[in-house]
Amino acid sequence: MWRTAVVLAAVAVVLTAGTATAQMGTWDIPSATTMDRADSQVFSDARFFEGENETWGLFVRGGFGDNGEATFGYFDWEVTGEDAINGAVRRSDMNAVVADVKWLLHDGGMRIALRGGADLEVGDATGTNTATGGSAFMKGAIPTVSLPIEFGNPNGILWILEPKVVWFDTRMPSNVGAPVQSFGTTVIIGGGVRYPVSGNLTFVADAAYPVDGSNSIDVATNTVTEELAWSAGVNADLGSGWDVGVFATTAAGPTPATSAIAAPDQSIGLGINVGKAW
Amino acid sequence: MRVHLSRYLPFVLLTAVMVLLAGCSGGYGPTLPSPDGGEGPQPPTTDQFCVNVQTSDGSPVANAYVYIGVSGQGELARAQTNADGRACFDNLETRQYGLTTAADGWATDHRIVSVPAEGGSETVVLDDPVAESPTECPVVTMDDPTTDFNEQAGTAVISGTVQNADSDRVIIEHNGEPTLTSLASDGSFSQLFFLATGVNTFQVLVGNAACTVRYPETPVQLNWTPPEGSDFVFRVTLTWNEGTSDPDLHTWAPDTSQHSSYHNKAITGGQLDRDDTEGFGPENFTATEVQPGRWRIAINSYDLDEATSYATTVRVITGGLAANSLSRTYGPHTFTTDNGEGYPVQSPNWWRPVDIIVAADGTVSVASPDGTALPAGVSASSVSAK
Repeated sequence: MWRTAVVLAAVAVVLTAGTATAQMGTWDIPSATTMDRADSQVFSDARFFEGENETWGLFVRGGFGDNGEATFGYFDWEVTGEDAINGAVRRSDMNAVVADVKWLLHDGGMRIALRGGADLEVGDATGTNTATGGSAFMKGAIPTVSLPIEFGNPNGILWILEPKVVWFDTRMPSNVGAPVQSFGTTVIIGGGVRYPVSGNLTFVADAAYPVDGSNSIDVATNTVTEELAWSAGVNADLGSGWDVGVFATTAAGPTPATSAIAAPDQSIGLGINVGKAW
Repeated sequence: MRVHLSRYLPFVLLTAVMVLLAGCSGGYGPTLPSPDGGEGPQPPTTDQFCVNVQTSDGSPVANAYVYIGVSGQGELARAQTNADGRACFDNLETRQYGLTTAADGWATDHRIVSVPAEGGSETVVLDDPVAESPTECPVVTMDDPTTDFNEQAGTAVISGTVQNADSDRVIIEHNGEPTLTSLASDGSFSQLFFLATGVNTFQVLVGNAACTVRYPETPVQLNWTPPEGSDFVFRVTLTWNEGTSDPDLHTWAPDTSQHSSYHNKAITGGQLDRDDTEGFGPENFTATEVQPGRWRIAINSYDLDEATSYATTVRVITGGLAANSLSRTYGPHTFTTDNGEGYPVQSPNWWRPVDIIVAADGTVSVASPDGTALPAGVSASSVSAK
């Protein structure tokens, strides 16, 4: 929790006032619209779960060329579940440098973009059975490719669809001999909506479900399974490029890979998103 | 700015409800895959479990002390029988416990009891009178468990001595699970255990007419990690609790035409390591290749020898060539007869603990034994050659 506070404070201190840039995505699904070349945004995302567990990330993104947008950031995941999964509490650790590039392919009544990137792990992503000390390790990078499709009114109700492929490891080596089955190559279909309810307040929600592969853990068997990853809440435009969002979520994080991972048994966390654009 | 409350109130309320849900939800949090091997779901508790203590002629024994091992941290619950010979315990978890029942003039009874969800009772018959009951508590010593620790097989022998005993049994708790073990006339005991991955704890529970003790107060710990590079698909391990008895591990490949046993150890896809005729095992069959299909396991009671009965235990674990992680233990199964590997494979001289199903992608699962008849195989004529 204290690290999140530090990150949010750093965002507030570092950023200076500037002109606002429309932020059109949802909590876990990017907009198909790319930022203008001269525009950029810094934002942080923190998600709090039971037992002072959290994930958080700090990101910067900006436009390039006529139709491109790039995002870089850092993501931290350190969660030890309060409840037992198959009789044992599980700890999950991951630190990743995140990079993705989005390119607007079509800008008519419907906007279509191609987005590719990866969560590049700093060290291993580790799942640990705290009862036995046994750990499984997800090594290297988690590449993703998606196709955000956006339609509706950018100043009114805006809908976004995102088919996405995430290349998780199929098997994770472990320190107890046998490897552990992982999520594998997962095909996710996601959808989201932005609904302006007043001049500066927007209701934002999204949901994603794997149609192939897996994205969560079955609490009865400790095996991989499929769960709906969703987030919903309100975002407030505070002016001068600032916006703040509060939302409920079951998704691990906002990055291309972690947004596909759902907490077991629809365990819900509280998310806070703070951004500054100029 | 003019605010249209009615327009955004539903969304604010919806968000507030979801935030409240977030505050009240369960505590898993997003979770990466991790190895299995936890202690399993916590069982429910039962309202009341009672022990009825009587002598062999049916007379109730009053003022007997009944101890039950309710915790792995040294705690023992104690109750004293009333005039009807009855003592009861409340709020026990529905699992197995070590139980001792002690009364002056009788050998202390040691047993394993299963406490069912609906509660219930256990009748203990004290039928072994002793001329003089001990007046001091049992004194337990335990040998260093690492001195007989088979790291490859994941087994360890827990041994030690008990002074001031008034019976021929002790209970050894392994990760809280009780096992009844013989106490020799010189007060020594010895028992081989399968180790679980990670931390294994051991304590001895033993009673006499003076008191029941659990030793040591802080359990002995032994850590086991399956060997690195465990390049096998699955391994079946057999152990038993009487050193003079001789059970044998038999494994049939999926088409049942190939049969691994002590007289034909290697078959396509796997091999038995040895035939232990004078110990507690282990005997291991290790599948070294992914051979898809249903592997069948059977234990034959080849020879009781000096024992009138003995108990066998089987464990199945997966190795690095399997696509998944699995560890299951079956038994103990008690044999009271033997037949030197006589066929057909059926009770009481055979025990089929489990079938193992290997998929083409290396995924290993377990299933209850099917009804397939298991042939003796090419070396059946040599079964008496031990």
